[in-house]
Amino acid sequence: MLFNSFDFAIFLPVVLVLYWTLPRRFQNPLLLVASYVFYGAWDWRFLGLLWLSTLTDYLVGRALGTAAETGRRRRLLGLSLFVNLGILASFKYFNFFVESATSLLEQFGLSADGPTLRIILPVGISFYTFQTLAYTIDVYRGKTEVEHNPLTFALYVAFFPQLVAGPIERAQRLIPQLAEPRSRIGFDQVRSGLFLIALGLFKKVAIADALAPYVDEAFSGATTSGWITLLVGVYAFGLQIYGDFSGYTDVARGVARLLGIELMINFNQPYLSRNITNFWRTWHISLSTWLRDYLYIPLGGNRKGNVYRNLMITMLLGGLWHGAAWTFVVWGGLHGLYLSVHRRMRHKSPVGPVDPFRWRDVIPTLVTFNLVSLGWVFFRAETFSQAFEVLRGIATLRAGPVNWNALGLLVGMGGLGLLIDLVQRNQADHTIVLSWPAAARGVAYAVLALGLIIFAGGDAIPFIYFQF
Amino acid sequence: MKATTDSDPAPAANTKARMAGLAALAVAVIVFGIAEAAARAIEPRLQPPVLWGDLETQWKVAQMDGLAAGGGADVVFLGSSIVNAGIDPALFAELSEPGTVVYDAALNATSPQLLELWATEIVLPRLQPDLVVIGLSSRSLNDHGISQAEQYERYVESIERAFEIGEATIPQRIDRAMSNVSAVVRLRSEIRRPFAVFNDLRGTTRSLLALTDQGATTRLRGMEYHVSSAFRAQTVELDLVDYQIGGVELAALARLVDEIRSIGARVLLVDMPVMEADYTPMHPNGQADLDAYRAALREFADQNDVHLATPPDLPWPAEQFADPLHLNQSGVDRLTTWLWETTNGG
Repeated sequence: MLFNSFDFAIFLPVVLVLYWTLPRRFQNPLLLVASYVFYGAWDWRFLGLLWLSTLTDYLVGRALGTAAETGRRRRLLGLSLFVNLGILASFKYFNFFVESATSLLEQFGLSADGPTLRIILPVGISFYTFQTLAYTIDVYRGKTEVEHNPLTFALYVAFFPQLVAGPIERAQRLIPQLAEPRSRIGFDQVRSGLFLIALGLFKKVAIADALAPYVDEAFSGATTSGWITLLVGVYAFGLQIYGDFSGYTDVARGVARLLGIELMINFNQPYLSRNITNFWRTWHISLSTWLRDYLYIPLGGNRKGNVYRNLMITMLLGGLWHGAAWTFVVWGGLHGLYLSVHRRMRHKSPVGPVDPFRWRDVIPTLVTFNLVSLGWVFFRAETFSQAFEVLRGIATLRAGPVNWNALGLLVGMGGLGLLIDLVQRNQADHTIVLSWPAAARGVAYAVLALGLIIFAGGDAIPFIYFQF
Repeated sequence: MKATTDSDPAPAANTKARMAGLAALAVAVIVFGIAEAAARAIEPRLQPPVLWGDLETQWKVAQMDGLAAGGGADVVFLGSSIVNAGIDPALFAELSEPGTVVYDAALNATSPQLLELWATEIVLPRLQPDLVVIGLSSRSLNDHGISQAEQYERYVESIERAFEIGEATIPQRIDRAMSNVSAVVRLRSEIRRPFAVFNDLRGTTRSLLALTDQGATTRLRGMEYHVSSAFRAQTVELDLVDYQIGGVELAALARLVDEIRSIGARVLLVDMPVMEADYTPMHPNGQADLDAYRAALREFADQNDVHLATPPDLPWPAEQFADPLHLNQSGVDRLTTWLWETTNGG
């Protein structure tokens, strides 16, 4: 079920009404059923994997709570890693690895027909496996309490607002909220929750979906499109993926807030970053902190000598997390390279809060944005040849007709997106608009409503990150 | 939903906040009202909103609604742009007995899969023709054609088609109800294209789809032969890509023929003339693909007992084409005259 679908527009009010009218002891059972309905609406067979992951980590967590011996604790952690990463490996990466190995053998003149699986990728598999793994690792490390209530734990894994595309919540933050009955919801929570939903849908529908056809046009015509069309397509994809993913997060946070649950901020004006390190501190925060805590630091983190190797490994695997394709690995590697270079020259470009109105920050911000945009070419392209054709077309200033509608929309939506980010800059909750004077607030409401009316319609377009 | 009392502000502050909220909503309504007024003001100068797959489909449905009110048509042409541009229904009518109504119901970029739906749902019920001429080229039977698939999707997904076949969803019904009330909603497909709106307002929109009263496109008739890089790219990468006659399009063609016969009309298939010297190499396997297409078409005609007509003296010279697929005025006159002779026992 998509947040931007008619089904969800019926589903959410029904859940909210039941949630706030039923006795409190029914809140979590209702949310769990609603979450399974929400997820099962894609394909009920996917629920089996979700249950497997939930059951494994619930039981492993409880066993870790009583296990004192280091060896046994390690074995239990290994079991969780085996099951969760096994699910990922089987359903997301199996064909990729087989095809890559076959291709490698062919390079050496050897012929091999490896088995491939005819499976579809379960929605959100990378998100919930990482979330439940984080719980088990934290229990193993003694950083979080064991959750004994199976209902609460199952809801932690399956909570529908963030189940399929995050934020990847930590147990310490989400489980205590789910364990306590939600007794009241304030007017301000309702208002800000609704505002976040409207803002998120606006970003998704009026920015991401509006630009999507022009991105598709540029990349599908990589070999023939003119350089302006290609450049517009690349920048438009940067806006599309930001609007799409941060819009999803806003809706998720808004829906959760209406249920009395607070989810973490996942994006904090990443395109206003003046260096790549800042970008990764503000882009998909729940994933970048997950990679930092459960991969980068265990690899050795910032310890002298290994830091560049650790950065590269983390970013390469982060790229692979996004999709089973070498283009994602290259995207991750490119960012690993950026981060390594920035680390070398960090004294010249310190990490810190961003102020794009300071003239000295404008150029570094633009450079960072363009480096990120270069990475998006590999992220969006279906093949390396498509990515290189896009870059070749731009670099050689290939002649071709200009789609002025695409350019106009890019400038308009880019400007609007920039305005939204400037307004929310350094704000903790992204609902600063609600504290504006009535007239300004009214204009903002009207812009959101007009954007949704003008750009909505037709079938709901799935969120990009669902495929990961 | 219960309202909180945890940290209720003082009643005065509460009232003030509520008033501010109402004021904000009032401002939002005013802004929306201004947008609505602006949309209504520019509406007469904009292209009509696209409610079918594309504007051409929309215009043809409207034209056929008019013809249906007058009793339909005697002769109907079906096919893609090759028929749209290549046959002159006015000349055909002129050559026929007085009062013969001829209509070109071809749609750009179509293949038999879409033609089947288009004819069954729209054309045949409205026009009730006696004769249907289906013009085909090798691109028509490519099961992997991308532009053909895109056009099919546009038609199948269009809101008006959903209403036409009685399968409109609740969101589509809401959409239509809102469109009837609000110009912002009605014009949104246009407003999404800022440059198109700008051109509409300046009055400089190029009318690429100008149709004659009988549904034909005349834009290419005055052109001399030319192969643009855009045409080549479109044909190679979208129309003839992964060329394969796998049976999907042929099966759709068979169903289309059956549907036409079921209303008592005659069917004629025409293998449309193309500028072979330039068009053949655009196929992935060149001449082999074109030969496969012609063999498949002959076999289809035999199996389905349909008359297949091939224009005389092929290949026609470049002077009769605007591009490798579309005829110009000279070619249109020649083909239409031959077609009339063929269908009238010539």
